[in-house]
Amino acid sequence: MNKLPVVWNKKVNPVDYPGFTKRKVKPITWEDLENQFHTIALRHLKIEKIDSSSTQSFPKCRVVNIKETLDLYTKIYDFGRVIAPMWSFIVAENFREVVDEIARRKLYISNIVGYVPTCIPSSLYWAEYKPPLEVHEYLLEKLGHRFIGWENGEQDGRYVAGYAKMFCPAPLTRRQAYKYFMEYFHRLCNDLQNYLVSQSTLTFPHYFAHMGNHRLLGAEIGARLCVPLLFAFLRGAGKQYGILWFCDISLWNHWGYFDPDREENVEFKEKNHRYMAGPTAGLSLSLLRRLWYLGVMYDCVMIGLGEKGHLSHKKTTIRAIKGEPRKVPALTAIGKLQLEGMNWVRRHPNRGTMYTPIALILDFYTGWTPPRHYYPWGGEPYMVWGNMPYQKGDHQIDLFFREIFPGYENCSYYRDERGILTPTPYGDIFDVLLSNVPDFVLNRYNAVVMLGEIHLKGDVLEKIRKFVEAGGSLVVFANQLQEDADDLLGIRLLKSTRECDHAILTSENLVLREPTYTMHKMKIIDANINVLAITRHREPLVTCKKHTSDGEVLVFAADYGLSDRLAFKKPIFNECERPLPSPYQILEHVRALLLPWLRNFNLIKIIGPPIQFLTSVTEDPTRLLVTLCNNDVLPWFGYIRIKRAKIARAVNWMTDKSLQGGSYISIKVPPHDIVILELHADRPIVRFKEE
Amino acid sequence: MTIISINRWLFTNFPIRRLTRILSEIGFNAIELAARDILKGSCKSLESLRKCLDMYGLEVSAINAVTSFVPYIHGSISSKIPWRREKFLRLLENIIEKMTILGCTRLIISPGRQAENYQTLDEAWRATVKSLRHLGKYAMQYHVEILLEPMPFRTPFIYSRNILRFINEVAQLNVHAAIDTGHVRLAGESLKSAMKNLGDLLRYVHLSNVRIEPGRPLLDEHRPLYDGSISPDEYKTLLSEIGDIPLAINIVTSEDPIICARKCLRLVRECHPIVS
Repeated sequence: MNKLPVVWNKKVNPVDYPGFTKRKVKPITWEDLENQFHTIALRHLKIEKIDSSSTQSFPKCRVVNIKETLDLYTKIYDFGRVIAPMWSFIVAENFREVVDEIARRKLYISNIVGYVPTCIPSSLYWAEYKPPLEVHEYLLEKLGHRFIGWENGEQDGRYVAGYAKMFCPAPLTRRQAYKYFMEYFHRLCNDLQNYLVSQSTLTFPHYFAHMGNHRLLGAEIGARLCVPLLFAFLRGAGKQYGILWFCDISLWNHWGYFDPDREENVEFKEKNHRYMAGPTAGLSLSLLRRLWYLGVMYDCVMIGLGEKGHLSHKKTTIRAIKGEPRKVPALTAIGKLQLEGMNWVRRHPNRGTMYTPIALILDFYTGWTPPRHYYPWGGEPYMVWGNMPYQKGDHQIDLFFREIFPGYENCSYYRDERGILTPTPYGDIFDVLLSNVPDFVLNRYNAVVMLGEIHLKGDVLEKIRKFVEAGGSLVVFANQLQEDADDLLGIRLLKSTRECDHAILTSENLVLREPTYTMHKMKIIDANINVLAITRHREPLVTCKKHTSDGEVLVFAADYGLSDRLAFKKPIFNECERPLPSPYQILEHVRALLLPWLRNFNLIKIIGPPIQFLTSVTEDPTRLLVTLCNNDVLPWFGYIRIKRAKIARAVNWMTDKSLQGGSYISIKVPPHDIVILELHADRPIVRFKEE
Repeated sequence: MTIISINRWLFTNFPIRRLTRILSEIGFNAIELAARDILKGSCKSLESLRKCLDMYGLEVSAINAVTSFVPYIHGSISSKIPWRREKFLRLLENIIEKMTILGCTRLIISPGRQAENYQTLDEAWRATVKSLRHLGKYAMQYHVEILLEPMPFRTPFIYSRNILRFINEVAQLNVHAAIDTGHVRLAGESLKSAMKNLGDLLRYVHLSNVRIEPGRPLLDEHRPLYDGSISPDEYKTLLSEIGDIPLAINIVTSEDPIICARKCLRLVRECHPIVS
């Protein structure tokens, strides 16, 4: 019988990270959150202009109906305890009264919204505003830990879409590109008192965490970027830097936003962009629902749903308030969804920790973004940092993600919502870390895949060596090797390359035809090494060294595991409703050996058509949670099996009904729906890692 | 003698004393400095820089604020936020004052960008004109010329025709135009038409190359003159008609900068009737 996998099952606890007490701006802690999961209850405080002819920079204004609004959103309807207001309330003449009332009710203020570079603050809306120190200090004094921070919202997207290319000259190196990126964010964070909450829409949360002035990391999810991909970055950043994370679900896609309060879609025009708002515009309700539950199971500490629209502006209902019937706005579909989700969370408090045993390590300066995204929509494909063309290593990252999140690159380019959520044929089990990850974080993982323009040398090599000695496994590509590491790899590079067009899988003696690729010649120096693939001339293509620690090291000789650049008749353009070809191809032998190897790290086996699934581990080694998210138009029928054990009992958390246990359970997930299951194995299926 | 200079930031790790000797040996008679370097430098360090340049017969062809300052991040003369715009103008004034220490009389700036919201094109235009008038007046006291250069991604004033209109509207004797060959090409203009548009108002030319290929992102790369989409023939056409307008090679490379500078200068000499 195989040994039980040793897995990490603890939530990120910022307080436990080295240097926490010395940090000037401390990440929000579980204690700050009162050990609770939170939801954003309210975003728009009602502000009335009193005198627009004011000689000051802002029109004179005040927040009206404070108590009534807070009552409506946090008491009559309990949408949560977090207020994420538009920034303009800080210039209201009754600002202090608003803060006092929020403090009295022990509510939180987070994500103070609305910072947009270049826009005048007197608009009281999108604005390049700068909160005065006394305002910031008042929020801290009155709310204490319940003031989470000013919002750095969607700014990574804004930088890439609107500012990255303005640098002259464009960066020559990634280090320079990073410096440019940081210049933008230092400017922005300085304006916002260096006390921030990020809301990423691209793959840069690590850099915000690295700045040391962000208290909570977040992502705006929806049609901006493939959600499992975005979370792989967000979780990775949170775990690497010891900062908790949240998500805010946007109702928007490129063509408009979901507004269930309207009878039919209405068209709007803003600048040169036309968009729709209505019940069938923007993101579909079924997608919003899946995103909500996924956000919870992705270990978010807070979720926001939609920029507006929990309550109807048109319909009312009667609610008993303090025993008296009172007419109040009726719930919209969004409001109902949020209350349903919150109720579900209350019913299932022990949700464990998402199981992500595999770390994808990218170079610190990578600046990698998907080949196409929302910033700008329809923009030039294949760029990093918004101002550098992809190199081959970036294509490797892209093609790797196309395998683990098939179709992820289509997110926001199709009206049918494909690519926002994807199946996960190898499990949703990956976090993205950067090469400066500390040892103690890395050691929480079971395997590392090195991706992109990164080199195994110096500190990174030492870190990886210790990781493998402690039982971790490694996947590395020959072109990423820069120093001899014979003991670690079992091979040595011969520092020469050659072209190749085939591979032979040794276990089956199966010959695979490949597009032309460049292989790095390697010499085997460890007699016990397992050669998994060779050429016709018996040159090693893939080797596996099993260490005494149980860690395995796989080395792929093919340059990045990819073909050479493919010849296309036409240049690649980024077009709506059309796939985006890659100029490279992942090699068949790499796919055949690497991907099943990754799948082995799952604790469960899913038998059935491709589906998005993720697993959460708990404090009990026999108890798992499995989330199945069907993003297809057809119902999903399949089976779940726990590896190394039988299912003693199971509960469907969506219906709270028990399911028949056994070797496997059979499950149906309706189209565009999500099912979360609690599984109890008949014996322990994991052991837990300790620091 | 036509001024032929090269940008300082091509040689990032070279101490200035060594660099001046090298540039003089290669055949340059001037160097272009970034505005940020001037801001950082104390009066004393700028004086010693000037002495060093004098020793090798080099002058400072211009101070380039375009490379140093990105709209919003560092400031913009087109900003609608009054205090931000004024703060940026103070910074440019400071640079103008320091330029006198170096004996430099040209400051290169760019317009844009328009605010993301709540600023009409006309408002952006007015703010830019106002800033230019102010700077022009201020620079006049120090005998400094303001050179306005179109920048490809700092929308919307990215064409030579926009620059021409600005200069005509500002109507000050010391506000003129500069172009960068790479920027002109990125904006989709031909070098010839940009030159024709600006006519006598063109007082300074940056030489750089760009690679424009279908399916490849457009980037302000400042490639060496021999490595990009602008052909030697196009440089030849431009330079043969340019007279003795100061030229500044404005490039970056990951190769050896000295070899690169030599090759670029050779190309300019082959194309330019006076410099050769």
